[in-house]
Amino acid sequence: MEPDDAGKPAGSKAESQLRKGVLEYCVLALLRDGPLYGVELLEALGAVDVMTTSQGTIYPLLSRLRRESLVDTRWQESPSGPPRRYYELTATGQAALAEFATVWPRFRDGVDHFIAP
Amino acid sequence: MKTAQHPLVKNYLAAVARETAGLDEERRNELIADLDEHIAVALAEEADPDDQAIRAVLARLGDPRSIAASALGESPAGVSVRRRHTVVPLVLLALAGLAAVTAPVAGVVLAVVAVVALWATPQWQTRDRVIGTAAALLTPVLLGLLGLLLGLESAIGGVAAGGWTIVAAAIAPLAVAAVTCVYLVRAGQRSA
Repeated sequence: MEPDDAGKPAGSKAESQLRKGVLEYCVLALLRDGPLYGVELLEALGAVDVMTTSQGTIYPLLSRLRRESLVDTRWQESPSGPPRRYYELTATGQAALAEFATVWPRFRDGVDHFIAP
Repeated sequence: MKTAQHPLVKNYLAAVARETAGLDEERRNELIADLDEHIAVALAEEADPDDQAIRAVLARLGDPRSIAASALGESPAGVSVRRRHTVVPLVLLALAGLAAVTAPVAGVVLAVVAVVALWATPQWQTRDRVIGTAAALLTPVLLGLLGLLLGLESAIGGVAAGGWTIVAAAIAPLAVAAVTCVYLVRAGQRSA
């Protein structure tokens, strides 16, 4: 069993630092249109390959978002297999996402200003 | 849960548990339950949940070490370790202040230990450490001076004045220790 060998490459330091800063807002944004369960959420995040190195690292983040009341969880039975734990945005989570959505374009433009040739 | 009984899953979760030994128990159990749930759900969505499918699900979850690193990064455990370290020199300093009155020799020993602990803790800047050291050494020096004064006064015969000196000798080390502790707590919080 060598799960680390098959994982995606860890990426550069810059990439991992940026990811650390924005990942939770991407999670909140994914939940904007409705609750998702863990596996769904991770598949959606994994669709953009800068966002995760390995799925398992997201669970500690989800746990913190739950403790900070940015998301809430509830169990729902599934027609196939075990019940799923759904994550959904709270009002606090929505507010944090809205704030980030106003900060981010300014931030992105600011960085582009220096980086763009 | 059925998947937890599969040796591959069991080994994987055991590896996560090992790597997260530094995490508090509640967080660790929560993380392992989350991962266990994830594996069960991911396998329920597989058409054929054989060993190969289990390996693929675990591979996507990733290296237990990186999951542990992420969990330790999200946990305030690092902060509480620092707090505990902060408390040790301060408690020693306070005890030194108390002991200075009742057991001067123990007081000096405690003051020395407190100073060593103060310099061994990453919490404070050099300036704060110098102040803490001066305060810790001030107590025995102060006591020595007061003892000398007391000796002189009883030699002269000022017994009434001697009473006040004893009170001062008892309070001064306590006051010095208390003020220093408050100062160091503030300084520690500032640099944290």
